[in-house]
Amino acid sequence: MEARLLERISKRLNEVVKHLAAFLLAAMTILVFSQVLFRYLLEVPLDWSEELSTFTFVWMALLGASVGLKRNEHPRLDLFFNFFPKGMQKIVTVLCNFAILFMLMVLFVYGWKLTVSMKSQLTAALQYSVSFVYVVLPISAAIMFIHLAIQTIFLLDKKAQETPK
Amino acid sequence: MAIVLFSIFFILLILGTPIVFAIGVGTAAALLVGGVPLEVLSQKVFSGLSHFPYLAVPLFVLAGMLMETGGISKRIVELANALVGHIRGGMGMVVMVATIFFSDISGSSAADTAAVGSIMIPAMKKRGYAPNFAAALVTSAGGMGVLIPPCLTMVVFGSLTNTSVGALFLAGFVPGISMGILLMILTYIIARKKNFPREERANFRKLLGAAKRSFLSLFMGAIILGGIILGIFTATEAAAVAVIYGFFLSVILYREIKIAQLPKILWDAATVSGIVMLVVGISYGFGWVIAKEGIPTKLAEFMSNLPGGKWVFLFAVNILLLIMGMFFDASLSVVILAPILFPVAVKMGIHPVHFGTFVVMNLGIGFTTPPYGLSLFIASGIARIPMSSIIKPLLPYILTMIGFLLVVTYVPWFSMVLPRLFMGY
Repeated sequence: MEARLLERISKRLNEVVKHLAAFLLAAMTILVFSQVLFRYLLEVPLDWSEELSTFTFVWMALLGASVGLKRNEHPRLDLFFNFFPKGMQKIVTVLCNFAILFMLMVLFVYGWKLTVSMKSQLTAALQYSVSFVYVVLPISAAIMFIHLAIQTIFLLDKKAQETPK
Repeated sequence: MAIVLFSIFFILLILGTPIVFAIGVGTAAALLVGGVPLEVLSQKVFSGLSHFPYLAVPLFVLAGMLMETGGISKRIVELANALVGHIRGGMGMVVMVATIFFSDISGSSAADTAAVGSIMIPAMKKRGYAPNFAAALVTSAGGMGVLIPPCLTMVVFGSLTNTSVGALFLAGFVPGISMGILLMILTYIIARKKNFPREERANFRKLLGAAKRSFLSLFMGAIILGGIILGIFTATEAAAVAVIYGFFLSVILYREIKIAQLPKILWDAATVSGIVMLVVGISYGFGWVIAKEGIPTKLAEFMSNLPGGKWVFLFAVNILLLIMGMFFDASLSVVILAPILFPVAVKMGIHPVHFGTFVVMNLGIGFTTPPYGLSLFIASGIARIPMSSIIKPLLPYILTMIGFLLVVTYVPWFSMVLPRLFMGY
């Protein structure tokens, strides 16, 4: 029961993130395209579109990376891994996952500290707090942490593995 | 710090950890050991990613996904067939020319290989070509396609090293086309020897018809390159124009993609580019440690004391990149090697644009080599034959590419001629 609940959390979270990333990509495209349009057709260059689209991009990229983690699509070298016996593969994956969880924790904690410390700093063109952009670091680190932690629990929990996916 | 970084990186790499995290954990541990505040990692990821040129990555990925639809590749193959099908080994020629055309509108070699391969491999099988030869052709064409702009690897290299992406795009053009011609000559020689068939020569009306039907697709390439040459827009803006153009073509004009399919295309593009961009972001932390340890400076000193300095360095870089290319994705190799090798290259007086071109060329060859060549993988998947069976017919193509790689490495003319002509390099 609990395992299925965890899986559902991970899945729901990913659904939300996926749609958000798709929206951000569409918004970014329109922003960059309008930048060209405004410069050439309307001859009123936008001075804020580059900034806003870059920050949209950072959000989209880090959220997209978390979807990649959920889908296990981050490239890895399995040349040696494939030669390990099955039982060892599992142990190795769990240990490596702990190392990654440690790194994600670093990104989360220090990303959050950074976000807080930047609160009063304003962006150059639009004059809003840069924290709105920085905050995607701890957010995406937390999302990846959740996905990976749940994946690791599944690896460790025999019962969970038996429940059909 | 560097020892901690590299030992953790290699251990995690060998254990099969996703490479981005192998770099990330190594960097975090190195900062910890070096007593550097861990904020540096988050700070570097963030400041690294906030570069406008990088926006071209998701934009070209998205444009590629919009243009990958069957209709557009079919039109391009039809035109290539009308142009070169009548030469001996005609279908092999078509593979090369169609890949050149398709690379001209798509930023990813994987997309080139998949688009051209999924049409040409079955067609060549039907025409009696050996499946492994067909797959070898498509694979090698994919390795060439990287050089033809637009190219994602060039976007990553250019943004990472503050080299103009537009200049890199121009620089890849002449080496890319020359390589295409070389591979076609090789195909012709093989075709003569094995007596491969030619296709019916298209009459002028047919050719004109094919040109008309594919014109709008190919025009996208002209917009991208022309816009950059004329200074109308930057590479990133060109990428956004390409997305809007691709949307107009495949959703509104050809109606190959339904509006309801767009969200999936968008989030797939966001995921693919997110994966690339996370590595890029993390690599800024990695690069910071490398630079702080003075590794490039030490390497440059070591290299310039060797007899033959620059020549030996270029050769060593080629070997290193070829090996990297065999195991890693191109953007990954760039991200790992650029912080180390780029400063050395600049110190040795190698032009950044020239350096970038043969780095990308190297990694393109990496697409075609076992065990992890992306093009090889895709082509063997489409042909439904094991990768190992493709290697024998592929070998002459790989050797030709490596031979030409050495020419481009030591004769900067190939890469520099267009940037000099149009951008005053």
